[in-house]
Amino acid sequence: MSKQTEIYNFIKTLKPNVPDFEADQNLLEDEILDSVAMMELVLWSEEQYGFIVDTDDLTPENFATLTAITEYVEKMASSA
Amino acid sequence: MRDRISITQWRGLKVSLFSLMIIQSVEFIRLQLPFKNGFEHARAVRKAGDTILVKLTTEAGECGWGEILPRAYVTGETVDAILDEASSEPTALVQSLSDLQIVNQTELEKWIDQQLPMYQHHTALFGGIEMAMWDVLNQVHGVDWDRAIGPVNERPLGRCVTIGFDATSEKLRARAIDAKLKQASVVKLKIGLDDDIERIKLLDKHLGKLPIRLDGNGLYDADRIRQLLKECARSTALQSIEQPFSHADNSYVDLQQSLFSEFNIPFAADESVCSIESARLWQESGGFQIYNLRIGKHGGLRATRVIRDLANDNAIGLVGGSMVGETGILSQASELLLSRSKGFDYIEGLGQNRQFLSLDPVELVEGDTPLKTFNLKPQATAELMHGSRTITCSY
Repeated sequence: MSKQTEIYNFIKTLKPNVPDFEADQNLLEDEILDSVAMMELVLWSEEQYGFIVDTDDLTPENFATLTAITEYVEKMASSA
Repeated sequence: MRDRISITQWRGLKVSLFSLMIIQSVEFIRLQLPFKNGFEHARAVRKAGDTILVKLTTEAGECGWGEILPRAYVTGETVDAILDEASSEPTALVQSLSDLQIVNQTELEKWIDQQLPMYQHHTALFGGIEMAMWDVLNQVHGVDWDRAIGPVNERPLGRCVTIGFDATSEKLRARAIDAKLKQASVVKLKIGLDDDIERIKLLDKHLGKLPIRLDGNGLYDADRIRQLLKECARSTALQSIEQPFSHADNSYVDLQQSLFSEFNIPFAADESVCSIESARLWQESGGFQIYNLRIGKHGGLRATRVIRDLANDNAIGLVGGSMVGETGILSQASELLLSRSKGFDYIEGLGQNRQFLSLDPVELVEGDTPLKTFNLKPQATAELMHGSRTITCSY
Protein backbone atom coordinates (compact mmCIF):
# COMPACT_ATOMS: atom_id res chain seq x y z
CA MET A 1 0.00 0.00 0.00
CA SER A 2 1.40 3.42 -0.91
CA LYS A 3 1.95 6.09 1.75
CA GLN A 4 -0.70 8.24 0.08
CA THR A 5 -3.27 5.47 0.46
CA GLU A 6 -2.25 4.86 4.06
CA ILE A 7 -2.63 8.54 4.88
CA TYR A 8 -5.94 8.71 3.03
CA ASN A 9 -7.22 5.72 4.96
CA PHE A 10 -6.13 7.24 8.25
CA ILE A 11 -8.00 10.45 7.43
CA LYS A 12 -11.10 8.41 6.68
CA THR A 13 -10.66 6.67 10.03
CA LEU A 14 -10.38 10.05 11.76
CA LYS A 15 -13.37 11.49 9.94
CA PRO A 16 -15.54 8.61 8.73
CA ASN A 17 -18.34 10.92 7.68
CA VAL A 18 -16.40 13.09 5.25
CA PRO A 19 -17.14 12.34 1.60
CA ASP A 20 -14.40 10.98 -0.64
CA PHE A 21 -11.94 13.70 -1.58
CA GLU A 22 -9.25 14.35 -4.16
CA ALA A 23 -5.54 14.36 -3.38
CA ASP A 24 -5.20 18.03 -4.27
CA GLN A 25 -8.16 19.25 -2.23
CA ASN A 26 -7.33 21.62 0.61
CA LEU A 27 -8.02 19.61 3.74
CA LEU A 28 -8.63 22.52 6.10
CA GLU A 29 -10.27 25.01 3.75
CA ASP A 30 -12.61 22.36 2.34
CA GLU A 31 -13.39 21.31 5.92
CA ILE A 32 -12.31 17.74 5.40
CA LEU A 33 -10.24 18.07 8.57
CA ASP A 34 -10.33 20.54 11.43
CA SER A 35 -7.14 21.57 13.18
CA VAL A 36 -7.60 18.98 15.94
CA ALA A 37 -7.85 16.18 13.39
CA MET A 38 -4.90 17.63 11.50
CA MET A 39 -2.90 17.56 14.71
CA GLU A 40 -3.80 13.91 15.18
CA LEU A 41 -2.71 13.24 11.62
CA VAL A 42 0.66 14.90 12.29
CA LEU A 43 1.21 12.84 15.44
CA TRP A 44 0.12 9.65 13.68
CA SER A 45 2.51 10.34 10.78
CA GLU A 46 5.41 10.69 13.20
CA GLU A 47 4.63 7.41 14.86
CA GLN A 48 3.81 5.59 11.65
CA TYR A 49 6.85 6.69 9.64
CA GLY A 50 9.41 7.27 12.38
CA PHE A 51 10.32 10.94 12.19
CA ILE A 52 9.64 14.10 14.18
CA VAL A 53 7.84 17.01 12.57
CA ASP A 54 9.55 20.31 13.22
CA THR A 55 6.71 22.70 14.10
CA ASP A 56 8.21 25.21 11.68
CA ASP A 57 7.33 22.71 8.95
CA LEU A 58 3.62 23.01 9.75
CA THR A 59 2.92 25.14 6.72
CA PRO A 60 0.31 24.94 3.95
CA GLU A 61 3.09 23.86 1.58
CA ASN A 62 3.57 20.70 3.62
CA PHE A 63 0.10 20.03 5.02
CA ALA A 64 -2.59 21.67 2.87
CA THR A 65 -3.42 18.64 0.72
CA LEU A 66 -3.02 14.88 0.72
CA THR A 67 -0.44 15.24 -2.05
CA ALA A 68 1.57 17.77 -0.02
CA ILE A 69 1.44 15.64 3.13
CA THR A 70 2.53 12.53 1.22
CA GLU A 71 5.48 14.34 -0.36
CA TYR A 72 6.50 15.74 3.03
CA VAL A 73 6.17 12.35 4.74
CA GLU A 74 8.19 10.62 2.02
CA LYS A 75 10.92 13.23 2.27
CA MET A 76 11.08 13.04 6.05
CA ALA A 77 10.84 9.24 6.21
CA SER A 78 13.70 8.83 3.75
CA SER A 79 15.97 11.09 5.77
CA ALA A 80 15.00 9.65 9.17
CA MET B 1 -61.54 75.22 25.46
CA ARG B 2 -59.14 72.62 24.15
CA ASP B 3 -59.58 69.06 25.24
CA ARG B 4 -56.75 67.73 27.33
CA ILE B 5 -55.05 64.70 25.88
CA SER B 6 -54.17 61.75 28.03
CA ILE B 7 -50.58 60.70 28.74
CA THR B 8 -51.11 57.66 26.58
CA GLN B 9 -52.36 59.80 23.70
CA TRP B 10 -49.43 62.20 24.15
CA ARG B 11 -46.93 59.37 24.05
CA GLY B 12 -48.61 57.95 20.97
CA LEU B 13 -48.44 61.37 19.34
CA LYS B 14 -44.75 61.72 20.16
CA VAL B 15 -44.05 58.29 18.79
CA SER B 16 -45.79 59.04 15.51
CA LEU B 17 -44.42 62.57 15.15
CA PHE B 18 -40.80 61.89 16.00
CA SER B 19 -40.45 58.16 15.28
CA LEU B 20 -39.69 57.78 18.95
CA MET B 21 -38.49 54.63 20.53
CA ILE B 22 -40.11 54.12 23.89
CA ILE B 23 -38.67 51.34 25.97
CA GLN B 24 -41.37 49.19 27.44
CA SER B 25 -39.52 46.46 29.31
CA VAL B 26 -36.27 44.62 29.79
CA GLU B 27 -36.19 40.88 30.29
CA PHE B 28 -33.17 39.13 31.78
CA ILE B 29 -33.05 35.53 30.56
CA ARG B 30 -30.74 33.15 32.41
CA LEU B 31 -29.20 30.41 30.28
CA GLN B 32 -26.92 27.60 31.32
CA LEU B 33 -24.74 26.73 28.37
CA PRO B 34 -23.12 23.29 28.49
CA PHE B 35 -19.56 23.00 27.20
CA LYS B 36 -18.68 20.21 24.78
CA ASN B 37 -15.73 19.40 27.03
CA GLY B 38 -14.99 20.73 30.47
CA PHE B 39 -13.20 24.07 30.49
CA GLU B 40 -10.33 24.23 32.92
CA HIS B 41 -10.15 27.61 34.58
CA ALA B 42 -7.55 28.78 37.07
CA ARG B 43 -9.48 27.53 40.04
CA ALA B 44 -11.90 24.89 38.76
CA VAL B 45 -13.08 22.80 35.84
CA ARG B 46 -16.33 24.13 34.46
CA LYS B 47 -18.76 21.98 32.52
CA ALA B 48 -21.23 24.75 31.79
CA GLY B 49 -21.32 28.51 31.82
CA ASP B 50 -24.04 30.87 32.95
CA THR B 51 -25.01 33.81 30.86
CA ILE B 52 -27.87 36.28 30.94
CA LEU B 53 -29.41 37.48 27.71
CA VAL B 54 -31.00 40.90 27.81
CA LYS B 55 -34.14 41.31 25.72
CA LEU B 56 -35.19 44.93 25.48
CA THR B 57 -38.63 45.56 24.00
CA THR B 58 -40.02 48.84 22.72
CA GLU B 59 -43.66 49.85 22.73
CA ALA B 60 -43.68 49.37 18.97
CA GLY B 61 -42.54 45.79 19.41
CA GLU B 62 -38.90 46.02 18.33
CA CYS B 63 -36.47 43.84 20.28
CA GLY B 64 -32.85 44.63 21.07
CA TRP B 65 -30.53 41.98 22.45
CA GLY B 66 -27.63 42.28 24.82
CA GLU B 67 -25.69 39.87 26.98
CA ILE B 68 -24.42 39.90 30.54
CA LEU B 69 -21.67 37.49 31.47
CA PRO B 70 -21.41 37.92 35.22
CA ARG B 71 -18.20 36.47 36.59
CA ALA B 72 -17.60 37.03 40.29
CA TYR B 73 -13.83 36.70 39.82
CA VAL B 74 -13.82 39.38 37.11
CA THR B 75 -16.32 42.17 37.89
CA GLY B 76 -17.64 40.84 41.18
CA GLU B 77 -21.13 40.37 39.74
CA THR B 78 -23.12 37.16 39.90
CA VAL B 79 -26.03 35.74 37.95
CA ASP B 80 -28.09 35.30 41.09
CA ALA B 81 -27.59 38.89 42.17
CA ILE B 82 -28.74 40.27 38.84
CA LEU B 83 -31.81 38.04 38.75
CA ASP B 84 -32.69 38.61 42.40
CA GLU B 85 -35.95 40.57 42.45
CA ALA B 86 -34.64 42.47 45.44
CA SER B 87 -31.47 43.71 43.74
CA SER B 88 -31.85 47.38 43.01
CA GLU B 89 -29.22 48.03 40.34
CA PRO B 90 -31.02 46.31 37.44
CA THR B 91 -34.28 48.02 38.40
CA ALA B 92 -32.69 51.44 38.70
CA LEU B 93 -30.84 51.07 35.43
CA VAL B 94 -33.92 49.93 33.52
CA GLN B 95 -36.00 52.71 35.05
CA SER B 96 -33.43 55.25 33.92
CA LEU B 97 -34.38 54.28 30.35
CA SER B 98 -37.79 55.83 31.07
CA ASP B 99 -36.07 59.22 31.17
CA LEU B 100 -34.91 58.87 27.59
CA GLN B 101 -37.40 61.14 25.91
CA ILE B 102 -35.85 60.96 22.47
CA VAL B 103 -33.74 57.95 21.59
CA ASN B 104 -31.22 58.84 18.97
CA GLN B 105 -27.49 58.24 18.97
CA THR B 106 -26.66 61.49 20.75
CA GLU B 107 -29.22 60.90 23.45
CA LEU B 108 -28.14 57.30 23.93
CA GLU B 109 -24.52 58.38 24.30
CA LYS B 110 -25.60 61.03 26.78
CA TRP B 111 -27.58 58.47 28.77
CA ILE B 112 -24.54 56.13 28.84
CA ASP B 113 -22.23 58.92 30.00
CA GLN B 114 -24.65 59.93 32.74
CA GLN B 115 -25.44 56.46 34.02
CA LEU B 116 -22.19 54.54 33.61
CA PRO B 117 -20.29 56.25 36.48
CA MET B 118 -22.95 54.93 38.86
CA TYR B 119 -22.36 51.36 37.68
CA GLN B 120 -18.57 51.11 37.97
CA HIS B 121 -19.03 47.94 40.03
CA HIS B 122 -21.79 46.56 37.80
CA THR B 123 -20.11 46.84 34.43
CA ALA B 124 -21.33 43.48 33.10
CA LEU B 125 -24.93 44.46 33.88
CA PHE B 126 -24.52 47.89 32.34
CA GLY B 127 -22.84 46.51 29.23
CA GLY B 128 -25.68 44.04 28.61
CA ILE B 129 -28.35 46.72 28.68
CA GLU B 130 -26.21 49.19 26.73
CA MET B 131 -25.68 46.59 24.01
CA ALA B 132 -29.43 45.94 23.75
CA MET B 133 -29.98 49.69 23.40
CA TRP B 134 -27.45 49.92 20.57
CA ASP B 135 -29.12 46.96 18.89
CA VAL B 136 -32.61 48.40 18.99
CA LEU B 137 -31.42 51.89 18.02
CA ASN B 138 -29.53 50.37 15.11
CA GLN B 139 -32.70 48.64 13.95
CA VAL B 140 -35.00 51.61 14.35
CA HIS B 141 -32.90 54.61 13.37
CA GLY B 142 -29.48 53.27 12.39
CA VAL B 143 -26.19 54.13 14.06
CA ASP B 144 -23.18 56.04 12.77
CA TRP B 145 -20.62 53.44 13.80
CA ASP B 146 -17.68 55.53 12.64
CA ARG B 147 -18.73 58.07 15.23
CA ALA B 148 -19.74 55.53 17.87
CA ILE B 149 -16.57 53.46 17.95
CA GLY B 150 -14.36 54.54 15.06
CA PRO B 151 -13.75 53.83 11.39
CA VAL B 152 -13.05 50.37 10.04
CA ASN B 153 -9.44 49.36 10.44
CA GLU B 154 -8.41 47.42 7.36
CA ARG B 155 -5.30 45.93 8.96
CA PRO B 156 -5.78 42.20 9.44
CA LEU B 157 -5.54 41.00 13.02
CA GLY B 158 -3.46 38.06 14.09
CA ARG B 159 -4.76 35.17 16.11
CA CYS B 160 -3.98 34.18 19.68
CA VAL B 161 -4.42 30.53 20.66
CA THR B 162 -4.78 29.74 24.36
CA ILE B 163 -3.19 26.72 26.02
CA GLY B 164 -4.77 25.92 29.36
CA PHE B 165 -3.85 24.09 32.53
CA ASP B 166 -4.85 20.78 31.00
CA ALA B 167 -1.74 21.00 28.82
CA THR B 168 0.78 19.24 31.00
CA SER B 169 4.37 18.92 29.80
CA GLU B 170 3.52 15.75 27.87
CA LYS B 171 0.72 17.44 25.97
CA LEU B 172 2.52 20.66 25.14
CA ARG B 173 3.95 19.50 21.85
CA ALA B 174 0.54 18.49 20.53
CA ARG B 175 -0.86 21.85 21.62
CA ALA B 176 2.02 23.66 19.95
CA ILE B 177 1.27 21.78 16.73
CA ASP B 178 -2.37 22.73 17.08
CA ALA B 179 -1.44 26.42 17.50
CA LYS B 180 0.82 26.30 14.45
CA LEU B 181 -1.89 24.66 12.38
CA LYS B 182 -4.30 27.38 13.43
CA GLN B 183 -1.72 29.88 12.17
CA ALA B 184 -1.52 31.58 15.53
CA SER B 185 0.57 34.72 15.68
CA VAL B 186 0.92 34.37 19.44
CA VAL B 187 0.18 31.68 22.03
CA LYS B 188 -1.22 32.37 25.48
CA LEU B 189 -0.21 29.89 28.17
CA LYS B 190 -2.10 29.69 31.44
CA ILE B 191 0.33 29.45 34.34
CA GLY B 192 -0.11 28.62 38.00
CA LEU B 193 1.27 25.08 38.15
CA ASP B 194 4.37 23.94 40.01
CA ASP B 195 6.29 23.23 36.81
CA ASP B 196 5.44 26.46 34.98
CA ILE B 197 9.04 27.31 34.12
CA GLU B 198 9.59 23.89 32.59
CA ARG B 199 6.30 24.21 30.66
CA ILE B 200 7.28 27.63 29.29
CA LYS B 201 10.70 26.43 28.15
CA LEU B 202 9.24 23.32 26.58
CA LEU B 203 6.52 25.22 24.80
CA ASP B 204 9.05 27.74 23.56
CA LYS B 205 11.11 24.90 22.11
CA HIS B 206 8.08 23.47 20.31
CA LEU B 207 6.83 26.80 19.02
CA GLY B 208 10.07 28.00 17.51
CA LYS B 209 9.95 31.78 17.35
CA LEU B 210 6.24 32.16 18.04
CA PRO B 211 5.73 34.65 20.90
CA ILE B 212 4.30 33.41 24.20
CA ARG B 213 2.01 35.35 26.49
CA LEU B 214 1.57 34.11 30.03
CA ASP B 215 -1.68 34.40 31.96
CA GLY B 216 -1.15 34.24 35.70
CA ASN B 217 -4.78 34.62 36.77
CA GLY B 218 -3.59 36.15 40.03
CA LEU B 219 -1.92 32.94 41.18
CA TYR B 220 1.62 34.27 41.54
CA ASP B 221 3.57 36.08 44.24
CA ALA B 222 6.59 38.36 44.01
CA ASP B 223 9.27 35.71 44.49
CA ARG B 224 7.80 33.30 41.97
CA ILE B 225 7.33 35.89 39.26
CA ARG B 226 10.89 37.18 39.69
CA GLN B 227 12.21 33.65 39.44
CA LEU B 228 10.14 32.98 36.34
CA LEU B 229 11.37 36.16 34.67
CA LYS B 230 14.99 35.36 35.52
CA GLU B 231 14.64 31.95 33.92
CA CYS B 232 12.53 32.83 30.90
CA ALA B 233 12.64 36.54 30.02
CA ARG B 234 15.75 36.33 27.89
CA SER B 235 15.91 32.68 26.94
CA THR B 236 12.38 32.30 25.52
CA ALA B 237 10.07 34.25 23.21
CA LEU B 238 8.14 35.57 26.22
CA GLN B 239 6.06 38.55 25.15
CA SER B 240 4.02 39.56 28.21
CA ILE B 241 2.62 38.42 31.54
CA GLU B 242 -1.04 38.96 32.27
CA GLN B 243 -2.39 39.54 35.75
CA PRO B 244 0.23 37.62 37.73
CA PHE B 245 -1.05 39.03 41.02
CA SER B 246 -4.53 39.18 42.48
CA HIS B 247 -6.54 42.13 41.21
CA ALA B 248 -7.72 42.68 44.76
CA ASP B 249 -4.17 43.62 45.78
CA ASN B 250 -2.87 46.93 44.43
CA SER B 251 0.37 46.79 46.37
CA TYR B 252 2.21 45.29 43.41
CA VAL B 253 2.35 48.50 41.35
CA ASP B 254 5.94 49.35 42.25
CA LEU B 255 7.08 45.74 41.87
CA GLN B 256 5.54 45.43 38.40
CA GLN B 257 7.17 48.69 37.32
CA SER B 258 10.52 47.55 38.66
CA LEU B 259 10.28 44.12 37.01
CA PHE B 260 9.30 45.73 33.72
CA SER B 261 12.35 48.00 33.93
CA GLU B 262 14.61 45.07 34.72
CA PHE B 263 13.32 42.46 32.27
CA ASN B 264 11.43 44.51 29.65
CA ILE B 265 8.49 42.09 29.73
CA PRO B 266 5.25 44.09 29.91
CA PHE B 267 2.47 43.31 32.37
CA ALA B 268 -1.06 43.02 31.04
CA ALA B 269 -4.13 43.87 33.11
CA ASP B 270 -7.17 41.64 32.94
CA GLU B 271 -9.31 41.63 36.08
CA SER B 272 -7.52 44.75 37.38
CA VAL B 273 -9.05 46.86 34.63
CA CYS B 274 -12.82 46.46 34.39
CA SER B 275 -14.21 49.97 34.71
CA ILE B 276 -13.12 53.22 33.09
CA GLU B 277 -12.24 54.41 36.59
CA SER B 278 -9.84 51.52 37.17
CA ALA B 279 -8.32 51.99 33.69
CA ARG B 280 -7.55 55.61 34.57
CA LEU B 281 -6.11 54.71 37.96
CA TRP B 282 -3.78 52.10 36.48
CA GLN B 283 -2.77 54.45 33.68
CA GLU B 284 -1.77 57.04 36.27
CA SER B 285 0.11 54.52 38.40
CA GLY B 286 1.86 52.92 35.43
CA GLY B 287 1.52 49.43 36.85
CA PHE B 288 0.44 47.81 33.59
CA GLN B 289 1.80 48.28 30.09
CA ILE B 290 -1.04 46.39 28.35
CA TYR B 291 -4.80 46.30 28.87
CA ASN B 292 -6.81 43.21 28.00
CA LEU B 293 -10.15 44.50 26.74
CA ARG B 294 -13.44 42.61 26.87
CA ILE B 295 -16.71 44.35 26.14
CA GLY B 296 -18.44 42.05 28.62
CA LYS B 297 -16.43 43.33 31.57
CA HIS B 298 -16.04 47.05 30.81
CA GLY B 299 -19.64 48.23 30.62
CA GLY B 300 -20.35 47.87 26.93
CA LEU B 301 -19.20 49.28 23.63
CA ARG B 302 -18.84 52.92 24.63
CA ALA B 303 -16.96 52.19 27.84
CA THR B 304 -14.61 49.82 26.03
CA ARG B 305 -14.02 52.48 23.42
CA VAL B 306 -13.13 54.99 26.14
CA ILE B 307 -10.63 52.57 27.70
CA ARG B 308 -9.23 51.73 24.26
CA ASP B 309 -8.71 55.43 23.49
CA LEU B 310 -7.17 56.04 26.90
CA ALA B 311 -4.71 53.23 26.21
CA ASN B 312 -3.92 54.48 22.71
CA ASP B 313 -3.32 58.01 24.00
CA ASN B 314 -0.95 56.80 26.70
CA ALA B 315 1.08 54.21 24.79
CA ILE B 316 -0.55 51.33 26.64
CA GLY B 317 -0.72 48.18 24.52
CA LEU B 318 -3.99 46.37 23.86
CA VAL B 319 -5.17 42.83 23.48
CA GLY B 320 -8.79 41.89 23.03
CA GLY B 321 -11.20 39.15 22.24
CA SER B 322 -14.00 37.15 23.73
CA MET B 323 -14.82 35.61 27.11
CA VAL B 324 -15.28 31.90 27.61
CA GLY B 325 -18.95 30.97 27.52
CA GLU B 326 -20.27 34.05 25.78
CA THR B 327 -22.82 33.68 22.99
CA GLY B 328 -22.77 35.15 19.51
CA ILE B 329 -24.25 38.40 20.86
CA LEU B 330 -21.16 39.40 22.83
CA SER B 331 -18.80 37.88 20.28
CA GLN B 332 -20.11 39.91 17.38
CA ALA B 333 -20.02 43.11 19.46
CA SER B 334 -16.36 42.34 20.21
CA GLU B 335 -15.65 41.74 16.53
CA LEU B 336 -17.33 45.03 15.67
CA LEU B 337 -15.19 46.93 18.15
CA LEU B 338 -11.94 45.22 17.23
CA SER B 339 -12.54 45.73 13.52
CA ARG B 340 -12.80 49.44 14.21
CA SER B 341 -9.87 49.82 16.57
CA LYS B 342 -6.20 50.56 16.41
CA GLY B 343 -3.64 49.18 18.79
CA PHE B 344 -4.62 45.51 18.64
CA ASP B 345 -2.16 43.11 17.08
CA TYR B 346 -4.24 40.00 17.45
CA ILE B 347 -7.58 38.64 18.59
CA GLU B 348 -7.83 36.32 21.51
CA GLY B 349 -10.43 33.60 21.59
CA LEU B 350 -12.84 34.93 19.00
CA GLY B 351 -14.65 31.93 17.61
CA GLN B 352 -13.51 29.79 20.54
CA ASN B 353 -17.04 29.55 21.86
CA ARG B 354 -18.15 27.79 18.70
CA GLN B 355 -15.80 25.05 19.85
CA PHE B 356 -16.66 25.26 23.54
CA LEU B 357 -20.44 25.53 23.48
CA SER B 358 -22.61 22.53 22.75
CA LEU B 359 -25.23 24.94 21.43
CA ASP B 360 -25.01 28.64 20.72
CA PRO B 361 -28.47 29.73 21.94
CA VAL B 362 -28.84 32.60 19.49
CA GLU B 363 -29.13 32.79 15.74
CA LEU B 364 -28.13 35.69 13.56
CA VAL B 365 -30.81 37.69 11.79
CA GLU B 366 -29.63 38.52 8.29
CA GLY B 367 -28.92 42.19 7.82
CA ASP B 368 -26.42 44.51 6.23
CA THR B 369 -25.56 46.77 9.18
CA PRO B 370 -22.27 46.38 11.06
CA LEU B 371 -24.09 45.38 14.26
CA LYS B 372 -26.23 42.32 13.66
CA THR B 373 -29.26 41.39 15.67
CA PHE B 374 -30.17 37.96 16.95
CA ASN B 375 -33.08 35.71 17.83
CA LEU B 376 -33.14 33.26 20.70
CA LYS B 377 -33.39 29.74 19.32
CA PRO B 378 -36.55 27.91 20.46
CA GLN B 379 -34.38 24.95 21.43
CA ALA B 380 -32.40 27.20 23.78
CA THR B 381 -35.56 28.49 25.43
CA ALA B 382 -36.75 24.95 25.97
CA GLU B 383 -33.51 23.34 27.09
CA LEU B 384 -31.16 25.98 28.47
CA MET B 385 -33.34 28.57 30.17
CA HIS B 386 -33.08 28.61 33.95
CA GLY B 387 -35.17 31.53 35.05
CA SER B 388 -35.84 35.08 34.01
CA ARG B 389 -36.72 38.47 35.40
CA THR B 390 -38.68 41.18 33.65
CA ILE B 391 -38.57 44.82 34.62
CA THR B 392 -41.18 47.10 33.09
CA CYS B 393 -40.39 50.76 32.56
CA SER B 394 -42.73 53.06 34.39
CA TYR B 395 -43.69 56.35 32.77
